[in-house]
Amino acid sequence: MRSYILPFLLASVVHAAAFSLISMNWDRPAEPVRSAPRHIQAEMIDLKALAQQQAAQEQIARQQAEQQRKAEEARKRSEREAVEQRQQELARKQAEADARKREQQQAEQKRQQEQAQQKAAEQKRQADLAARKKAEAEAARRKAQEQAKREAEAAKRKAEATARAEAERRKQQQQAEAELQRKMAAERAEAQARAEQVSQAVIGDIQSYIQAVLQDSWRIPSTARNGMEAVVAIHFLPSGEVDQAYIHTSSGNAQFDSSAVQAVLRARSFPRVADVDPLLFERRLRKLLVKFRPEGLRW
Amino acid sequence: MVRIKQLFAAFTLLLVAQLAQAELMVEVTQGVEAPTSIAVVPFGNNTGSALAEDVARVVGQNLERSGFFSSMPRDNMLSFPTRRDDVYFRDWRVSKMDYVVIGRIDSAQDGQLTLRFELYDVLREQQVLAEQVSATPSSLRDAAHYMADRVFEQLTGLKGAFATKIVYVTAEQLGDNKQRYRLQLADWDGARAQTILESSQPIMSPAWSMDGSKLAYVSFETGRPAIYVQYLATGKRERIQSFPGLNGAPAWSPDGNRLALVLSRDGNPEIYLLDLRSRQLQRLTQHYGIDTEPAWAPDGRSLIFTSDRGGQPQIYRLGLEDRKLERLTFDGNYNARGRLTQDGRFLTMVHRSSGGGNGFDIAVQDLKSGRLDILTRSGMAESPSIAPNGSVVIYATQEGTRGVLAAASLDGRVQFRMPVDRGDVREPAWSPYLQ
Repeated sequence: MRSYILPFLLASVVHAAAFSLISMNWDRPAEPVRSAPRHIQAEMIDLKALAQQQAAQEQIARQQAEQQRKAEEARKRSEREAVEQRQQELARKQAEADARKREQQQAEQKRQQEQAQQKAAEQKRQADLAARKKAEAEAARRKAQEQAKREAEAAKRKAEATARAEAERRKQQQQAEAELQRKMAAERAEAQARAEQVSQAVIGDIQSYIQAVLQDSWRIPSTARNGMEAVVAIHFLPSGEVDQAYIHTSSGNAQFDSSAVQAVLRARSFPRVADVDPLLFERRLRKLLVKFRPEGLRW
Repeated sequence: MVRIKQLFAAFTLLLVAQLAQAELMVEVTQGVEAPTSIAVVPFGNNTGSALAEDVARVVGQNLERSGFFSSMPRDNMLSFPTRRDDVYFRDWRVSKMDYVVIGRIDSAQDGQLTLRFELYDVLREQQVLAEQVSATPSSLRDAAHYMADRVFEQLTGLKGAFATKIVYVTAEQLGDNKQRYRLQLADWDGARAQTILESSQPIMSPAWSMDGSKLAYVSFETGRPAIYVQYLATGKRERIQSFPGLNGAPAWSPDGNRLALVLSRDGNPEIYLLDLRSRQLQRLTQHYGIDTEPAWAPDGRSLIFTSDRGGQPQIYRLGLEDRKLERLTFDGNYNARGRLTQDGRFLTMVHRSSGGGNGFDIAVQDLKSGRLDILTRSGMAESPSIAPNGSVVIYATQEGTRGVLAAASLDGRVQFRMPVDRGDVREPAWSPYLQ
């Protein structure tokens, strides 16, 4: 009998080794973690106050955010509006240009169509004539003369018709062009007139304002009499400040003239002038004439 | 075809161009009717000693009283410059001043003083006037009046009357039924009064000659009213005439050769002309009513006087060449004691408005427009006399039981009382422009 004890022992040793390898704890034993006792500086918090503060802060933040949002919105809105307006402008202009182009195209098309039609009609006529000629050529030569006369007449008529059609076509073309020009000029004038109206209103406003300020600052001298009239020229700076003021037309009385110039200098600046569009300012307000003419004086 | 297109384009262009040119001028028709604000800064005194007069104060007071200016009180001044470099226009503009006067006084040789004054326009930041005046320590007030005249003329265009004088009569009770009457000559504002005649009998109706060299007045020193002429430079007196009855209200013709008088020698008070050279008397009015208080028009061709021929005292004008009579006053039920300005435009008078319960006030009538303005409200005013430039009217009024002098600017805005120390004051007369 074979003895199995040795292999059995060897197997057990190997298994035991393997088992111990597996089950051994390779990790070093962890050092005892000495954690510091958690201590914190605590203060009594009034949760309600805190909550209120927080709420207040939040509200402020909210309000600020709101304001910002609103401002943002407003800005966006105005931007949008501006953009929209511009877009609308552009769109309108584009639409107008398109419409014009379309019209032109249509006129062109119509012309071409007419031309094509004319050509087709022309061809048809010619074909008919050729057929008739061939048929009649076989007929009696007596008819040849009549035929020739008829042909001549027909040819003449045809020429006249063509000429008339040609003239008609040319006239229509010119009319269409003139119409177009008129329309464009009218549009331009209208746009300019509208712009002029707006600036006129602004100028009128500013003039009333200047008049009110000067009526407050003018000291009418005791030697002024009804009927005296002086014109002062004012040079404004874009900020509304008076750059220069001097007599443009004298009243004949030196004290009256002085009082008029002094009225402008006493006022010193007209802040609302700064709000006027720079182009309009340059055109109408850079130099302004003011007439001083007192009414209802004693003497 | 093309022509029409061009025409249309041209038309449109014209339309647009017209719109662009429509330029409306701003018209200012109202303002503030306020006197010109001026600051007269105390003058710098470089003489080393105190001066008898506060020159700047006199100048400021003159300007203020004329009614044309509002003089800045010293307490409100932010600085007291005496030189151009010290003048900060912004300060004065902030104080709402339109003009500034600065000056300084230096000693000159022989005890004289040199006054230098400058006038500045605050708003235009420019010098308007700069002058130098010589004076003695005792004539500082005259220098002040001169400077005020110069500033006044420069800023109003009118001739200044601050160097003119007034005469008036004072009456004092001395007890035992005795009175003392004095004829006084003073600066236009009542300062520096001096007695030029003293009498125990009444003195009345002093009148200046147009050249300012002599006075005519009525004196009762002989027991009866008589017309006298006194030469101011020499003090010489001359008794002109004494007619039976009333002798009163002398008025010098502009050329100084004739006196208009009120005499009652022919029955009731009428106006006569006395030629001083020939002593010829000419009767001017013939009416059973009272004709009195004559005054000459500046051109010497007509007289104005008070007459009640219409039932109540009103002022009339009599042309001397054509003897045409014209009534001048129509407002109120009493107009008397008319005096004209030197240009003949304004008539000042004693006036009582219609309706009951009105007193006597001083009024000024613009003879060009007929407009009447009442200057006083005391109800007890008399004897108005108007400045030669028409700016101020001086008159006599009551203060309690005393008679005093007062003045008002022609627009009625400025009123002030004149200080007189003794007695009752009456019948002021304003001199013409003096040399």
